[in-house]
Amino acid sequence: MKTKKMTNAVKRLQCAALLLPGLSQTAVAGRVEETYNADFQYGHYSESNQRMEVDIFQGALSAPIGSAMTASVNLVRDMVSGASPVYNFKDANGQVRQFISGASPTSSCGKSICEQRDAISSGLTYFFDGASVNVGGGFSREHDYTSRYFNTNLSFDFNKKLTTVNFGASAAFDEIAPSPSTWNSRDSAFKAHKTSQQYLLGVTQIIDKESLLQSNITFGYHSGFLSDPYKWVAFYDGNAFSDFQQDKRPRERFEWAWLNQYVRHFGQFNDAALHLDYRFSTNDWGINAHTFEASWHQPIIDDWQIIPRFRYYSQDKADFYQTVFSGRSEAYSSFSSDYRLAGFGAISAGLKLSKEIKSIGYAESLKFQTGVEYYDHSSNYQLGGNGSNNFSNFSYYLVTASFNLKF
Amino acid sequence: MLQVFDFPFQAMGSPCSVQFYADSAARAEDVFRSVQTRIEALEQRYSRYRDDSLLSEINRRAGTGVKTALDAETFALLQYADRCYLESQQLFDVTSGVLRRLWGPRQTQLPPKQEVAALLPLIGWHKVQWSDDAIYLPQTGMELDFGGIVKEYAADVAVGICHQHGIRHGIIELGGDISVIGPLPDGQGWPVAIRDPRQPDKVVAQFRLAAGAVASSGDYERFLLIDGVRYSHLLNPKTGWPVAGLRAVSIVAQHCVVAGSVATIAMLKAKNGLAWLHGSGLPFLCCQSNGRLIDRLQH
Repeated sequence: MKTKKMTNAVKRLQCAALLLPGLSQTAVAGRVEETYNADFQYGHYSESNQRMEVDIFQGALSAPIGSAMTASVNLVRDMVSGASPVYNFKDANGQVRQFISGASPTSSCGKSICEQRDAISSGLTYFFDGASVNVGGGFSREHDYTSRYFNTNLSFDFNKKLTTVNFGASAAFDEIAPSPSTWNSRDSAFKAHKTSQQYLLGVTQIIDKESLLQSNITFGYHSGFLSDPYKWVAFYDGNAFSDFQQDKRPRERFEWAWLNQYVRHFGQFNDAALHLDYRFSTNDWGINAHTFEASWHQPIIDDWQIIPRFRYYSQDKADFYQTVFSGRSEAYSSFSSDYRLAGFGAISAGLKLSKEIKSIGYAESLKFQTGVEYYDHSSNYQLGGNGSNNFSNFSYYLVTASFNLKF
Repeated sequence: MLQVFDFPFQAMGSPCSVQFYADSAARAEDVFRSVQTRIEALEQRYSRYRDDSLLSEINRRAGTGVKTALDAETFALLQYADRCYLESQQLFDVTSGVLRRLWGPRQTQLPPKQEVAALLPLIGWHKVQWSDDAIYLPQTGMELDFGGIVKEYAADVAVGICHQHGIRHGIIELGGDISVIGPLPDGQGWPVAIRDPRQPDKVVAQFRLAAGAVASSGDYERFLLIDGVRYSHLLNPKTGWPVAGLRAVSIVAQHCVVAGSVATIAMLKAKNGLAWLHGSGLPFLCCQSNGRLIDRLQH
């Protein structure tokens, strides 16, 4: 049975029927979506000052198997090119500056970094009455990095499905084999490993028919080679250069994160919805981070939707981070000048526009989405920050276009 | 382990059944009791055959100057009836039941034209005074009748109760109107058969329904046979005469109450009903007065 475009008379009768008490809004049949779902997305990421550029291609397909199972598969290809900061140094005036890897005439794209990352992941979800189990795994590869990962998630509904509890666990096994380059002093046989595990406990509570609250706690443990094989650290005695070493980080990291999300629906504004997120994370490297995000999902007319989004992020520096170090490297067990471990803040804002076309041909719906996001990273934006790392400020923009087909 | 349970029962003057999969007989029994209790409560409130129903109370107070207080559910049903009235160009009128005094099921001859005409002033939904807390029929003799709404609504409510109890696979039938709780455990739709309006033992269409509802309107059971002519039990509120044009209509929609009212509106539209159905966008099966069958269930 397929439903064609209905007349306004029938639509109005259906709307009137939905006001009757006791009617199920949707004819639910388990939670399996009995449709096939195909997604394709393209994204272009571009950092300021001609640094990194990334082209992102992503495809996903999910399909029902019987009435209680869905299978999904996801493919990603990232093409990375450009340059990135390698180390910080003091100039003739004693000011700290950033050294960015330059163009490399020997590389395939003429830039110092030309990489391709391919990833495939898949999952299977089985739905019981009031519960679901998901298992999945994936594989990703770039020329110097291979990752294999597994994950599982259990979800239980309680309290007439108003409360959902989620348990998740995932593990990743990574192999790092840095390629020979100007910025890698290790020999070509060097190979290192990293393992990560993460556990999640989450609760989703439907508060009333207009709002829901979600809270997740995650615990992560990473061990092995956690350094960046292409980053360096400069050491100074006063203003005199004394030592130059590759980035060296502790071989373990414990982290906790707490995410809270509140969603509220506003029927009076044409079914708009407000999403508010706050995330706090802390790890034993000394980085505490706060993320605040707000977005407004506004349907306009004819299944057009616009989503403005705002995000603020702030983190403290890692205990072993300094812009440049003083003395000699032997005095430190760990050291890094990676700007990602510095204290900084970031503000980003974005806008997405989507259009959904329902029941075209054999497809149930076709949805197009396009988005743009601007991100500004500055040490001035850090909560309680002093702007001491302003030399590493940068920004990027990200444009995306995607379409989703349900059939 | 899921087992199938089937509970036949009698409600709203019709044979009914609830059939669904549950993990134990005790749980199935609980679910059925909740469904049956709710349906009986709806019948108790909205039956025009019961003197103690809310509907009978509203009707008894017609023209007396006494309003009847409304609860939220009754108000919602009146709003729905109002929508049916508007979408049918005033053909679906819940005040047209007074005509049954002349077109009763045991009638053996046509009522005199003057008597029919005399009843017409008592008909007209627009005359009814109603708000979100009270209703009043302004003329003595006026009557409200939720035929074509309440039984179908009850099927939808029963589905909602089953969902609340975690039932995922099942089907409900209330006197020929069907509402699906959820598909068979293997994901297939339930087999549904539609009978020939003139030969109840003959099936004219069969299909599978995995979600949603089917409701029918037509001269299946209730009709008048006068001098060899079959008269529909559906009466045009503007003329007071039975409608002629379509023998029977079955509609598939997400909710049974919508399927039921669309089927009734199509019947009331008589010879314009078929064109209206084609335009409705809903899957339908229609039997024209010459017996020709139009099957648009798969479109």
